Amino acid sequence: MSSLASPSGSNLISRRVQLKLAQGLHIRACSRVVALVGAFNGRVRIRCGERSADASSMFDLIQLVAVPGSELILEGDGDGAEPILESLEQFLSQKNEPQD
Amino acid sequence: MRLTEFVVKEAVLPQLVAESKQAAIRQMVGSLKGNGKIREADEEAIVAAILKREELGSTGIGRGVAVPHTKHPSADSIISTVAICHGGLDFESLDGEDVYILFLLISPPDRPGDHLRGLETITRHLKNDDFCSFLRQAKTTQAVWDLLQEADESHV
Repeated sequence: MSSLASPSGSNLISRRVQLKLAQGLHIRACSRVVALVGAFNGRVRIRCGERSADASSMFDLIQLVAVPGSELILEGDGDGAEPILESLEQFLSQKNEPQD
Repeated sequence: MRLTEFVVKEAVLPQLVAESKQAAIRQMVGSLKGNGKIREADEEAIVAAILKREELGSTGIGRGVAVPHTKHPSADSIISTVAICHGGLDFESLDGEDVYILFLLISPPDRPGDHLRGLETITRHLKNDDFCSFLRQAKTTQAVWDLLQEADESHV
């Protein structure tokens, strides 16, 4: 985990994660990401190569075209960002998705 | 990837009337079959697979859009059809709103990248408010097709 100063002056934390989900960041996985960040008041962005997505936006996330094996950078800004990134890392690092 | 590369023009349903999302999906798959894009023998399996996928979570992704989909071995490449439901359809969407624009996708099972690029192409254009609004108003296959072509040309 690394910590950077964001333009607003707050702490931006980031993590690198290798996407292991067998189908990549497809619609169901995106909706799971949206749900995970839904209760968080801060901001979370996910970068994949040169693309960057607001993790609360289905449309943004789908446009990452993140295939299995992609390296993702998770960035969180705001109180409670660390456990959110932890949850995201855990989800994105598993090969088989929960069927809930 | 361009919309007109994988959307089957003849299978577009510009005035879909359906009582349920299941009925809408059945009509869209039927339209692909009716235009020779999928075999009659595969039709039921494809409908069942799309409905099973919907049970895992709605593909109504917000902004009045749904992208029901499946992967099926009969697909050599990604194919899609578009339906416009002018009256709105309850699709159990993530945002709770009715759906007016449906893109149904069938992809080969072994190429997740193609599937993701198809989804990216669709959502990239549907983020454009004008495109979304004009598509919702389209009432003929040609009107839908013209909009898809315009979208492709504006992003080449």
